Amino acid sequence: MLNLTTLVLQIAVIIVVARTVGVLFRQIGQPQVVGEMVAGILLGPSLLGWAAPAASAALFPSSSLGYLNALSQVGLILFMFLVGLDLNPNELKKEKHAAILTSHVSIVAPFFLAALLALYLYPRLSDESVTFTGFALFLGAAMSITAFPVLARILTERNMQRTTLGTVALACAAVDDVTGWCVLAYIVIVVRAHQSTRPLWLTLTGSLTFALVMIYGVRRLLRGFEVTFRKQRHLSENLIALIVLLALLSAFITEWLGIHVLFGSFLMGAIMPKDRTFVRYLTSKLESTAVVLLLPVFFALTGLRTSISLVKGPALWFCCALIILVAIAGKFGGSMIAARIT
Amino acid sequence: MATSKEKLFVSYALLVGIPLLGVVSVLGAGRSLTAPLSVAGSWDLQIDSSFPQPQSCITSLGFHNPTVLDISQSGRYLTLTLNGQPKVELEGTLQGKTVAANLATPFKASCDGAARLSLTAEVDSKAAPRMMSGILKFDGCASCGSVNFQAVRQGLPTAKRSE
Repeated sequence: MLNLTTLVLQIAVIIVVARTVGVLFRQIGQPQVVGEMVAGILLGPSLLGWAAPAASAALFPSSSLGYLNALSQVGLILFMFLVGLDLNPNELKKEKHAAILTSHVSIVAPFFLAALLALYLYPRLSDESVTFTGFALFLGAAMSITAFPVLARILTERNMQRTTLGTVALACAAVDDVTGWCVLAYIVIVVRAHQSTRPLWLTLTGSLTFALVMIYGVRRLLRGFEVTFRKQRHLSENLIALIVLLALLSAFITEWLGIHVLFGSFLMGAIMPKDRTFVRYLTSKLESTAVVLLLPVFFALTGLRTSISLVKGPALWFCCALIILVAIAGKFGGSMIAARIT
Repeated sequence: MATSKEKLFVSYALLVGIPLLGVVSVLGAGRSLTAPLSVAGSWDLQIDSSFPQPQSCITSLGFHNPTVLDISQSGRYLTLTLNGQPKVELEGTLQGKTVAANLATPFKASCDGAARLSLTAEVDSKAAPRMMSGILKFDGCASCGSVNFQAVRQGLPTAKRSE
């Protein structure tokens, strides 16, 4: 059962530690979001759980992480809606060739390198209950997926989200991740057929249909918000609530389709009217709750669930280093070559 | 001079098409690889009943029959936890059907001072549920030496390859 005192204390501790470490990271020229994830690692089993297990168990009992996760996902939905809202479609149109090629190469290049790496890792890190195909596809999907919220946060922190570079990067990340989730859905079918909740064709056709309906249908209806805003110079609380509701509904649909909540909210934000005053007004209404209160919980939770002590011995550290190296080479190298060509 | 669309098409074929063919080839090549046996899960470990010495290393480690042995597996790398009082964690590897694991630090035995615990076992991959039998060895303890054991995996069916 939810212990409200524990939840409030957890949020308070996360905000204090995430803000502190985030500021320290900014001072050394690193994104604040990386500091927030490191804060999560410090509060998780890797440091607090290791140094003070009793305090860690009292502050972050494993039964409470579900509530914290749910709260952080709401923050993520709001944040990705705001990122989509700030997306500049005109910049994207100008650079569509670069976006298409870069996004596809940044999926395929790490996927290929991951498959090669799987030849080395499979006899060492897998066991007979997993097929090579399942292992290689999983490794490929893990390496080709972009940390979309992290990228969005870095671009937002550096005020680059409306620049050509920021817009193309966000579009590439969105394409990458939708593809990645489809590949994951396929892997679930290949590896764990009996646990699959919905068929792959439904995920693929459903996602495509949903995107087309949103872009060519729902977008026109949303212009009403901008018209009302122009007339009244503000939006009523009911209209703000309706916009949030639409973002939640869109997130619900993409989650149900087997991709992730974040794509639904991002897409809803992306098809919203793009008048600068309207965008600024809507952002000011939602930004603080999402970015200051809920989002640090999301990023800190990533670190909280990381246990570095599970990587034991030089052989596993070597595998870990190899995976990181191949992931960076595939993602960075692939994107860079494609971006240079276009 | 190539138009931007032609350039995009050629770049796409080279940068996307070739790696994609590479992925398909690697998936085909990898099918012949074999992964280590699956030994993860909880096992009921039964110590040889001819070893009931009251002040032995076994009693120092709080073992009783059967003791639950939890194995956490990352491929050939294993962490074995013997759920006595207190819990004892061994680090080990799986080579073929042989499990070999050691307790990193010596423990204080009530019979003969400090001893090091090591475990060696052979997995019977054809048995369902999966079984293993082997030896717990107390290096440094003159009184105990070693003890045989058998273990049976709980609840997990024998894994099958679908490829």
